This record gives sequence, C-alpha cells and structure tokens, in this order.
Amino acid sequence: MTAILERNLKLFFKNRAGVFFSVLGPLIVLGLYVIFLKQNMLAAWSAVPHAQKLLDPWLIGGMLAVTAMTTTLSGLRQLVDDQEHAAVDFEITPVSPFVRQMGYFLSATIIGILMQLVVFGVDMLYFGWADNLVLTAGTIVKVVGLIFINAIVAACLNGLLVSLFKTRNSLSTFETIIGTLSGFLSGIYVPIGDLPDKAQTLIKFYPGAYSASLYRRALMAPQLDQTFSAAPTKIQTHFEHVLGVGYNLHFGATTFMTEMLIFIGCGLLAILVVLVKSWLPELRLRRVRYNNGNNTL
Amino acid sequence: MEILTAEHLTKHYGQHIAVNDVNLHVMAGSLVAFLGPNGAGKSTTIRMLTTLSQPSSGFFTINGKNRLKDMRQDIGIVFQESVLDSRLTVRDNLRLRARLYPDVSRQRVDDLLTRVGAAEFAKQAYGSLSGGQRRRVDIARALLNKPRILFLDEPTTGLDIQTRAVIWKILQEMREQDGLTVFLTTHYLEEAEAADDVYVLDQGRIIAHGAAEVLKQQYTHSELVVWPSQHQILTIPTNWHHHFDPQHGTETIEMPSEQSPIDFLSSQQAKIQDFEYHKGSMDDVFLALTGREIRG
Repeated sequence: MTAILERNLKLFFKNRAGVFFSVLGPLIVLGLYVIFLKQNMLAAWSAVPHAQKLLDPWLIGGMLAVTAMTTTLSGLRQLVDDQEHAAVDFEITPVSPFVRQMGYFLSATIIGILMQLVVFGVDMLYFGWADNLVLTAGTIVKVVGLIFINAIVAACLNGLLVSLFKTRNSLSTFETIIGTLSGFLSGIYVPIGDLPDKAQTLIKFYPGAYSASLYRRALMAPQLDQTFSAAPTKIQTHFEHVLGVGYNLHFGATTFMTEMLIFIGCGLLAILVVLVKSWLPELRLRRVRYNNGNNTL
Repeated sequence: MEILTAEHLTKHYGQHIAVNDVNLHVMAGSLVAFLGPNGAGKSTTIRMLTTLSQPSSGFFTINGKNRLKDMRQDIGIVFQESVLDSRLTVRDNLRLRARLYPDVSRQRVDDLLTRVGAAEFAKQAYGSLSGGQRRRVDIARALLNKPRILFLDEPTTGLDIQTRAVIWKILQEMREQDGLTVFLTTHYLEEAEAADDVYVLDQGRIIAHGAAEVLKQQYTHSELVVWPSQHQILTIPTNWHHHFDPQHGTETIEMPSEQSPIDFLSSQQAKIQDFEYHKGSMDDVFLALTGREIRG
C-alpha cells in the first residue's frame, strides 16, 4: 500500500498547477472577504463589540471546511484517471482491490491534511498581519485535531462522489461545481442567517456545513465568550446561528457533540456505500471467476 | 513442456461471441504470434489469458497452474496503450510498481533498465520519452516479476522500423537468456515470420495454426513472372498453372516446388529477357485466410 500511496502523492504534488487550483477556491474566498464582504458584514454587525475579532476566525473556519472538500476531491481524481488507464496495471499485481482503494483514500486524506495546514497557515499569517489576530495554542491544537478528522471524513464523502464517475472529463466539470457550491453550502460567502429558509434547509443537508460549524466553534469560542459575557445567552445563540455556528434542526440546536456525530456519521455512511458498491460485483465475480472448467480461485 | 494450455476458451458479450472455442498449446520458450484482422478477438483472448477478464466458458492453465494468484505470478503484460505514469521518472515508475510485488529488488529494476537499454533515460519523466523508449520501459515493467510468459498486445504498432528492430532484439535476448515465452499479437505480418507458432484468428475462431513455414506452404504458392524475349514461346509443363498478360507481355507461373523456378529458368534461359520471383509471404497467408475486404 505504501507504494500506491507514495505514487499518488508524488503524482499530485508534481502537478503544481493542480495543487494550486485545489486551494484556489478557498483563497478566492479570502480575497473576496478582504475586498468586499468584510466591510459589509462589519457594518451590519456594528452593534457587536469586537466584531472583527469574531468575523476573521469565522471566515477561517469556513475556508478550512471548503479546503478539505476541494483538496480531497482533487486527491481522489487519480482514482478516476487510473480507471481510464493504469488500473489494469495494478489489477495484475498481487495487491488486493481493498488495499488499492485504501491507497487512494489515504493519499487523498494526507493531501487534505497538508493543504488545510497550508491554508490555515496562510490565514494565520494574513490575519495576524492585517488584523493582529492571534490564536491561542489551545485553539490551534483543537483546529489541527479538526483538520485531521475533517480530511478523513471529506475523503470518505468524496470517495462516494468519485465512485459515480468513470471519466476524468465528467469529474472535472463536477469539481468546478463542487468548488463553487461548497463555499455557498458552508455558508462562507453569505452567512446562513441571511439566506432564505429553503437555502438554509439545503445547507443543513450538506455535511460540510457541520465541519464548518465545528471549526467556527473551535476558532471563535474564546472571543464569543468575551464579546457576549454581559449579554443574555439567547442573544449569543442568535448571533451564532446567524453565522452558522450550530444549526437549528428539528430536534433542537446542534452542539459540538451532535455536529461531530452527524459529520462523522455521514462519512461512515458514505464509505459504507462505497464498500458495498465496490465489493458486491467483486464478490459475485469471485464466485464465478475461473470456476469454469478446472480453473478455481 | 507446455507453458500455456487453453481449452475451448469462449467469451460472449450478450449475444455477440467475441472468442469462440479457442484451443492453445504453447511450448515454454517459444515465440507465438497471434494474428487476425481488427475485431477478430485477439485482444479479448489476451485479456482472458492475462486474467483481466473471465472466460464465459472453457479454461486455461499457465505453467500448469490454474489459480488466479499463481497464474499472475508467471505472467507479464505489455499493454497496447501506455499504463505507466507520465509525470514520474522511468526509475520511479518501475520502483513503485516493483513494490507491488512481494520480492522484486531495486537491483532487479536497475538490471532491467540496463537490459532494455533504458538506463540512460531512467531519470527522465516517462511522458517525455519517444514511443520506442516508452515501449522499452513497458517491457521492463512487464518483466519485473520474472514472468515465465510475456504477453504483448501489438507491441510494435506505430513504431519506426529501427525501433521495431530494437524491440525484437530485446525480446530475442530475453528468450535466449531466460527461456521466456513470448506471446504477441501483431499487425506486421513479417514479424510473424519469426514465430515458432502462428495462430490466425478470425471472427473469434482459430482458422489456421502452425509454424510460419508450414502455413506458407499450405496457403500460398510462389509465383514466377517472366518476360519472354520477342517472338519466343515458352515451354511450360502442362500441369502448371499460368496465365499470360498481353498488356505487359508477361507470363505468370505458379511454382509447384522450391526447386521448380531454378529448373524452369535454366531450361528456358535462352527465351527469357527478365524475371521476378515472388515467394509466398505471411501477407499472402493472411489474405488467403481472412479475405481481402476491410473489417472494422
């Protein structure tokens, strides 16, 4: 497996343009925020003390959620490429299909982790320089932990998506859509609270929205407590829900725990579907393969 | 010893029969050519023999083994299209593929690179190589796991004549030094001339099988084309087939044996200005067997 892993990582990082484009989406978000959105939002939240100290980490959270989705998808592109060309070359080796799949999954996860760390680093440098934003060591540790979980779950979710594509061309089109859509669905272009009800419902069905919320909780918690220390909890909750820190589902408001469960649950469900999808034909094939005549497996 | 035995190998795709009751007996160390027009079922047969698709019926053994895993240990494949990674270097490609097998050493990779003459461009990206260079690397890739039999699906298609000669030399060396069996499909019929055994496939069936020489004797005849001197009448044995072309003034005579043209030419020497002798080739065998119309 390490050979397939190493190969996939080499192929990904040798394609410099591909690496750049995989994080272009989140970086454009940063640009848009800095140039257009930030002033509007600050004006809208002028009543909130230290609004900027809340909005910067809010943006970082959304960016990381989007980065995980787009970069693990780019990482998994190799799987679709190989279906068109190299897959037969692996099929004739003693490496089992499961191990091969794991190779793709792990390389996508590692790519997701590394690229999120890069984006997180860029964010910390930029906001540290522009807005004197300094994150505590505790926050950074929490975020790094989330980066790992996020990459794994995003690789699972994208594994399901990628399994629906047979050719690179169709996947590329889809990638463009995902790149754009995931920004909206994670509520980073426009905060969820400013969207119509139907759009809000749609966002609640998008697993990435929960990872965005988890990040925001980790990043914004210290400042939220400080800003709203004198205000009633109701006002703080309202503010949080408008920004997509926690969502109102029909059983009530989500917490860190429920969001984590929903997010990981979606990932597990996705990987389960992928496994069933890939193993069913394989099992059927195994039963009949080479059973004709004297050939047995 | 038989390295490959296939009995009644058949492959259906729905109603369509791609490969129909194919029997193969390949001796270890031999060179086997698999010929046939486009769509004859060559690639389908190779896919089955290399365990990439399963036969609808029939079975085969490789080196006496019939378990998928065991068979795969003994086979190497050079695919029609490149399957290596164009962005990686030649050496990286081979080293990473080598690690997919239980015991292929780095030394083995370097040895193979030398043997196929790829050592000098081992540090280049595979994608930057010429067609011939790639083919050599493909062969090295296929030989990583020390296969007993190497399958090549049209290995020389699209290569220039010098490169084809190089590929042939490499394969010849592998056969001599390692006793490798080579099983290939090809469009270049002259390549089949060198084969110990030729199978001609058409519409999924084997329609002829034998050594190239035997097939040529069986399916072709040699022709002598003669330009008689003016006002000379040639004396041609009555049981020989011949026809006169009044436009060019040539007499085309089918030769019943190898010795016939020499005997005939010496007996008629005084009456002949010029002549051409065409020995039956694999092209003639192929056309005689599969007809002249173009398929797919």
